Order: sequence, then structure tokens, then C-alpha cells
Amino acid sequence: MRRGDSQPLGVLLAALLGASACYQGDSANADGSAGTTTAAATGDDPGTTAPTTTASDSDGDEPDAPQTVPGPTLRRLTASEFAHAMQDLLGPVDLGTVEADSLQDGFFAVGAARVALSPAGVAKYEQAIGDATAQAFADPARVAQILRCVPTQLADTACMRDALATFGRRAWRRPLTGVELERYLGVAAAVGTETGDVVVGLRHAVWALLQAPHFLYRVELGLPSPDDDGRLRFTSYEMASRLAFTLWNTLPDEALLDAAEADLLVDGPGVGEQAARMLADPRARQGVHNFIAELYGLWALGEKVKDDTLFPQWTPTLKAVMRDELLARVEDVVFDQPADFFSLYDGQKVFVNNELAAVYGLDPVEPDVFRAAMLPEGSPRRGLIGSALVLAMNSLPARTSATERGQFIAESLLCRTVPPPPPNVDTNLDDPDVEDPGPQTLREKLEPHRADPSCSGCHNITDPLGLALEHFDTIGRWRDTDQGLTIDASGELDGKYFADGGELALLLREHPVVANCLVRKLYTYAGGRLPLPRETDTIAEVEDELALAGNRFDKLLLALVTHDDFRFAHPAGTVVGEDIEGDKP
Amino acid sequence: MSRPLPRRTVLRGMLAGVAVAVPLPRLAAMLDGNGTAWADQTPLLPRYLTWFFGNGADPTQWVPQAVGHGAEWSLSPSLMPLAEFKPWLSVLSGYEVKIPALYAHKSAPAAVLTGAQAAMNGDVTAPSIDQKIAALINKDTAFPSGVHVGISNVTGAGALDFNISFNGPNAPNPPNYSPADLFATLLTLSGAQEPDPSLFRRKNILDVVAEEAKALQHQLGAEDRVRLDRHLEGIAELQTQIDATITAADCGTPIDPDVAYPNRGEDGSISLDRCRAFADLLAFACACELTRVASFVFSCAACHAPYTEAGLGNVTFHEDFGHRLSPMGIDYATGGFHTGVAYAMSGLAELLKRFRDTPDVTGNLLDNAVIYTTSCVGQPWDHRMDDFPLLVAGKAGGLLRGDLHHRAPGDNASKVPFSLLKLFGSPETSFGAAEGLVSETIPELLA
Repeated sequence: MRRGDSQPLGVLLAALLGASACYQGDSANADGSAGTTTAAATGDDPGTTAPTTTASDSDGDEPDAPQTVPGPTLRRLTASEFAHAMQDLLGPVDLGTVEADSLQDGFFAVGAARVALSPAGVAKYEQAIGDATAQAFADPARVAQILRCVPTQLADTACMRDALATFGRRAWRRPLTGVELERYLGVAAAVGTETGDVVVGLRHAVWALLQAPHFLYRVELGLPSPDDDGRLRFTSYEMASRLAFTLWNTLPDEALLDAAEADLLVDGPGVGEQAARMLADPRARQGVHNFIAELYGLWALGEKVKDDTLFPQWTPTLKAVMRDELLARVEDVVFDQPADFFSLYDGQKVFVNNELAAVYGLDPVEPDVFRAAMLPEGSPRRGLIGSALVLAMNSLPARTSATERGQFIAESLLCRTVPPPPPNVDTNLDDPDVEDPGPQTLREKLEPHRADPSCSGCHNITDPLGLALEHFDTIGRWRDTDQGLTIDASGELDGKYFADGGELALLLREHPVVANCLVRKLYTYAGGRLPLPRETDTIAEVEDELALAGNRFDKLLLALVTHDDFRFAHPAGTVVGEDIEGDKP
Repeated sequence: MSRPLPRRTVLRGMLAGVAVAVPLPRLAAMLDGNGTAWADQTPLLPRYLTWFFGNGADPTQWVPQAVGHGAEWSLSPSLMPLAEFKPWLSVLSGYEVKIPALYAHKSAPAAVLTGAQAAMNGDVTAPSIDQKIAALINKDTAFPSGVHVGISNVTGAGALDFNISFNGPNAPNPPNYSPADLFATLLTLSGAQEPDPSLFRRKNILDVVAEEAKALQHQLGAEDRVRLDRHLEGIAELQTQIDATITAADCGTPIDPDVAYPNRGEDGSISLDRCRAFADLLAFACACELTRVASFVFSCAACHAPYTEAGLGNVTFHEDFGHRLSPMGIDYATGGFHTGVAYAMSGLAELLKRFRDTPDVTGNLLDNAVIYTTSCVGQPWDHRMDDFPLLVAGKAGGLLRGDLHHRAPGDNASKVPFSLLKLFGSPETSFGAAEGLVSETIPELLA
């Protein structure tokens, strides 16, 4: 797992900088502090760029320290974006592996904006794209779908030009310049001449277009906008790209590119119109899937092992259906009902096949289909934290982990930072001074350590929340007892008592931080970086829109992509203070 | 664009009407009278590898009891799988990671690989030792940044992600987990196959892509320019490989892992057969001087994979054994941890075997190699960073003494990578940063 340093009981006894260093309050610093080492300016030396404003404060309050704002950055397509884009362009193809995404600040989307591709990664792209184009171009019918015009001879330059211009616009999310088009026509002509086959020539031109940085990276740099206080405004084509990757996790379609060509994406209403259309498109589900997969770290499910002597039920098919279920819950709330997003946090509607139904204690049906079901009335299993996926993902191979489960709640739902464990602390829970303590519940095992001041600061963030889920075993099944002992699942969340995990779920849904946390996570994902302190207002504005819309996630997406901070950037190295006139519209 | 081919380029021929050079393998006949340098007096270059295993070692099992040279010392229980390679081993014990232990499983591996602290997000803040050495000795090979392979592709709780090789911050060289993929690449470079005329087309396409990337550079901020520069380096490196394919050496044929190890397990799983497959291929690549630098990740920092083949079940080695959280109890967990470390060393032994059994100039490849072996933590259950596992295998073409256990309690662990860097002729007078900074080497290592 790569979500923080979450090795379960290593964290358990951890207090990195002593109790005082650990977050314990309600005004979470969210995940902002976690990326301070790399969230600094990403552009030119500030000294070389004229500041947009100078820090001053006319109302007499203590002026905020000036902040250097990062400029827009290249973002390499994530593996998911790359795969979807290739399928959109070429149709179904077997894609070879490309260099793995890098997880930073909890998101591949952030790693994609920071980490350089290795030399071996360049070779992987060349091979994967070469193989994919070879597959796609082997079928003449497919070629006719990929290219708007398929020439029959090299002399048909108008057709070749049309084919590459339209393909290039789609792949690069903008029209090719004349020089660029000539460059790729040159490739097609040279290879076509050498092989005597114009389509082979075009395939090589496509291979080249798809290796170009304009395809492999999101080149969204903005242009200076004199009417907007020197900020950079993303062009209509760049906005098309931003919308498509954020909402669909893939390339813009022709309609979106046409809107860009008509320069309709330079204001909020224009963006809003396209975004509303896109959210009604089935590809929006693909986009939400990807956000959820990154947010909850679903990629890690594949490598999650369970002790197969104790949990033979832990099969690849069970893992797959757990993932499907989580995504089905999200789709149901976001698209099918649609309903308050936070109903996910305490809802009792589940989606199962018979294998997963057994985990939830539900009856099998014949024929066995993937289906919606309601948990029995009064069931203590509620919401995301009662889902098999969250319970199993945040457990050890052979036993539960209150720390991992608590860390999931603290970090993913409440945006609280749980520092990594310190060195020189033995992570074994057994008390070496007691020869045979007899069976103990996890709570009993943890109590002495949570009493240790060097551990309690951080573990008081995680453990009380995780212990609420002790009635669910390491693969998510209900259990009455732990090693034959009564389980105490009660606790407190910010001063509010809960008797068990079900009550904790109810508290989480109503918690004042969850909306802000969700917006911060989405902002990080969409922007490829953590929110800056000066963007607190933006987060709050989007959060307000979410509340006004009854916490509908589709409305949240709409509010985000139409916000000025999604449409504008600052030149790299701009120094701004908070609340400065002209800094924000 | 292309880079110069290795110096053993000696024969010339014609392919598709284009003049090509055909390199030959290193032969004793091409050396000077003493067998210590090429005939043109350029020195022979040893090969460098970093070999990394996650989750540390128990010093009570890792550190040999006696210090000294030759018969003066004997192998420890954890190192017993390396027994037949004792003449090539230098065990360096007592050394301590001086970098503050801010991040468990991150600070320590960053320190022993780069000499500097990790970034909080699991990145490094300085280049790793293999990349510093690659800059010195590998620029004229087909893989200027080295060949980087890995056995387990299971992550390690954040740590340093999958990586142990870093060109700098935000510039890792992620491992390749597929022996079949590396075999296919090496086969094209081996001279065992007829070059494909399409290679020229691929090169031309890469020229176009490079032109496009250079045009984009002007629009970018400083950090993006660095990233795109690295992409351009990758393009140049790939073109170098295509050149080397066109002009392939007659190095024989690498061992096909699908034939030799059909039951080695999936890419990313841990098995000794997978270690053997990569060992074959790295020995081939190094013998043929397709690269002189490589890295081998048995398991990444804090790796959460199971050591099933070692009899340790389908549970995460990190948790059940590294942190001794097995429900079977602490004695079982401690014993299992020792088993797991010895298992990892068995994986290293497979590499040492291939290197020892591969002739190279006047000796074998292990004689002419430096294989720096280390981990992400000292004793894992309390994340200790003292008495760190540090082992060097190989004799660096006679520069290293070998068959040595040198103990220096409390001394700075950065001295080990710095000593190796100096072996390769680095003019740098220090290595590392802050508490990891050293300017002294370990003279006892030298012959």
C-alpha cells in the first residue's frame, strides 16, 4: 500500500514528533501539510517573473505572508487516462504496460504532474503505442473508423492531410499547426514510399503523433489574459482537455472540440453548458470511477493478501466483486438516483452477487446475478465503512486493524493527517513481561499502548474510529466476538458518543468536515496538486455550491469545473497574498 | 541522434546500404600486455549493481561474529546462502544511518542509496549511487541510465514507492518486472537476430518526436523543462539502443526465461526462478557491455508481499514477520523473519552465481563487479537504523579486497556508497547531505 505509511501496527505505536505534533482538532489541516515538500512553486524562478500584486492589506489586519503560486504544469497522462484515450482513438486494442503511475499526496493525478518519465518508460510507450497501432491498422474496416479519410495512393495528399489533421486534433486536443501537420505528413509519405503502402505510412504517422508530448502529456499552460489581472486563462482547447480528463478520464469528443474551435469555453456559462452535457454522457461514470478509485486507493486491492488458511473465502472473484460493489454504490448515488453523496457514508443499500452476499450475511438467489439489496433493518453495518471493500482493504492478512481502518476514516473522509510511525518503537503488541496473557480483544491489546504518551497523540486519531468496526473481521464478515471475548465497539467522534460502527457511520454523514474534505480531495485530483492555503476560499465556495445542490456529486463537479480557479492559473512564481484585490475575481 | 557505441566496436559492414559497425565482446586479445587495460590504454571498467531487499535484517543473525579477512571470519546465519561466494564478500557492520529517522522505511533507504534524507512524500532529494556511477561509466552503452529490474511489484506502505534508482528528485528509474520483456530487448541487441529494416523508421519517428518535445520546451516552466529533458534523454537512449541493434554485437544469445524457467510465476511475484531469470539476463547484459550499471529490487522498501515459496504462507512478510505480528506468536514470527532474510539472500546468491560463472576478460564477471546490497531498515520490528545491513559483493576488477568482515560501530553508513563511488573514479570529494554527508571512504575495503 502506498497511502501514507500505513503499515498497520507500525502506525499503531507511532507518534512521529510526540503527541503535540499530531493533529487532534476539528479544523483539520486536511492533506495540505502532507505535501509541503513538493507543493512549492513549480515554475520559473520567482525573481524572473513580475509579481501580479504586492502583499498589502488595506483593512489594517495583520497582512498574510506573500505566497509564491505555482504555474500550470505538464501532467503526464495517468495509466488510466492513457488507456481510455488509446481506446477512444484506435478502438479496442491490447495495450502493453506503460510506466506505472506514481502516487503522491494520495493521488496518481498529483504524481502525474510531478514525476518525470524514465528512459525505460519512453521505450515502453514506443512499444505499447507501436503494437497498438499495428493491431488497429491491421483491419481495413477499423482504419476507416480511425481516420476520416483513407487514401488509396500516396498522391492523394488531400486525403492524407485530412486524415492526419482530424486524427491529430483529437489526439492532441487541439488542431495541429501547419508546420506540425507537414512534419507528420512527411513521416507518412516517407514510410508510404518505402513500403509502397500509404496506409502503412499513415500508421507510422499516427505512431509518431501518439508518442509526441502533446499526446502523452496534458499541455494546459494558459495564455496571459490582460482583462484578468495578468492571470493565465486556459484557452478553449485547453479547457476542453481539462473538462474531458476531469469528467470523463479521457479525451474530448468531437462536440467538445467543436465548442473549443468556436471559442465557447472561455467563460463560465460556456464551460457549464458543455459540462452539463458531459455529465449526462455515460463516460461521466468512467470519470467518477477513476476519481473514486484514486480517492479510496482501489488499486491496492489487487495486492491485498489474506491468510488463506484462515480466510479461504478471499478469492480473486470476491475481490473483484467487492470493487464492483463499491463503484456500483457510487454510481447509484451519483447517477442513478441521484442522491446526497453523503448517503454513501451511512446508507444500507448494497450490491452483491452470491459470493459477496455471503460476506454480508444475505441469502443467495438463483440465478446468481449482481444485484441491489438492502441490509436488514437494524443492521449495524452501514455506509462506506461497513462495505466489505473498505473493511478488507484496511485489515491485516490474519486479523483486523483498528489503526488502518481508523486511518482510512481519518484521512479519506475527514482529511486528517496521520503522521508516519517513528523509529525505535517495537511494533509488536504482545507484552513481553507477561508470559501468557490469555486471549485479548484488539482493544485490550491496544489500551496499554494508547496510554503511552509517545503513542497516544497519533493513535487517538485512528484507533477509536477503527475499533468501532471490530465486529467485522478481516474480510468484512460480521462476528459476535473476538477470540470468544465480547467486543466493545463504542467510542467517540469529536465528543459525540457512538455505540458501534453503524452509529459511527451516522455521525460521519453528519460531520461538519466531510463536505470540505470531499471538495479538497476532488480539487487535488482535478488540479494535480494540493490546494494552496490561498485557495481556501475557493474550496469554501465550491462547498457552498455542493450544500445548495443537496450534496449532489454531479453538481459538485459542475461547480468545480465552472469555477474561476479551474479556468485560470497564475504565471509561475507569481507572489500573491490572500484577499488581495485582483488576485481573485 | 545517436551516442557512441561501446569501444569494442571493431568490425564494419553494410546493412540496407548503410555502413554499420559490429561490436565484439570483450576478449583478452584486445587487452594490453598486462591484461589490465584495453590495448589503447583505456582502463577496464568494473560493473556496478545495487541489490535491494526490503524489511531489513536482524543484526543478531546478520552480523558475523568475528571480524577480519579470509579465515578470520565466518558467515552469519543470514548470510549462509552466500557461502560459496565468501571470497567475494565484504560485510560492513556497525554502520549507522545518521539521517534523522523522520519516516520509517523512507529515511533509511534514501540515506543508504543517496546519502540524503527522503522527501516526506516518499521521493528522494538527491540522485542514487547507481546513477552517479552510471554518469561516470555507462554513457557509451546501450542503456546509459542502466538496466533496472525487480522481483516483487507489491508496494511498501508509501516508503520509496517501487524504486531504488533515482536520477534525482521526481526522476525514478522504476524496475522492469518482466524477464520476458528484458529478454526480448536484449535479444535484439545481442546480434543473434537479423536487424529489422523497420528500425530505421522507428529512429526517424523518434527524431520527429524529439523535435516536437524541443519545440515545446520553450513554453514550459523550469521544472517541466527538466521533466521534458528527461523524456528527451529517454528518446536518445532508445535511439542508442536502436543503433546498437542495427550494429548488434555477436554476444551469443541470452537465456530465454520462458524456456529456462517456465514455472517462475507471474511478473511481480517472488520466486527464486524469477531471480534466476533476471540473473541470467543481467549477467548477459553486463558481459556484453550493453550496460555496466544495473539495479535489482528483490522487494521494495517495506514491501508487503508474501514470501510463500520460503514456506512463510500467504501473508505479508512486512507485517507478520518484519513487525512480528503473526497470530502464531512472536517466536514463530522471529524465526520466520530469519527464514525470510535468508531467502532473500538466496535470491542474491543466484545473481552472484551467474556473475561468477560468466567469463569476463581474464577472470569472471563477479571479479569485475561491485554489487552493493542493502535494505530499508536495520532491525525492522523497531525500525532501527543502526547496525544497518550493508554488504558488497565482487572485487571491482581487483580493487576490492573481498572476503572481509569490517565492523565500525556508530560510523556513518554513507561511507559505504561513497567508497564505491570513489572506486569508479569519481572526482567528488564528499557524498550525501546534512547528517548523511561524508568525505571519507573505508580504506579497509580496498585490496
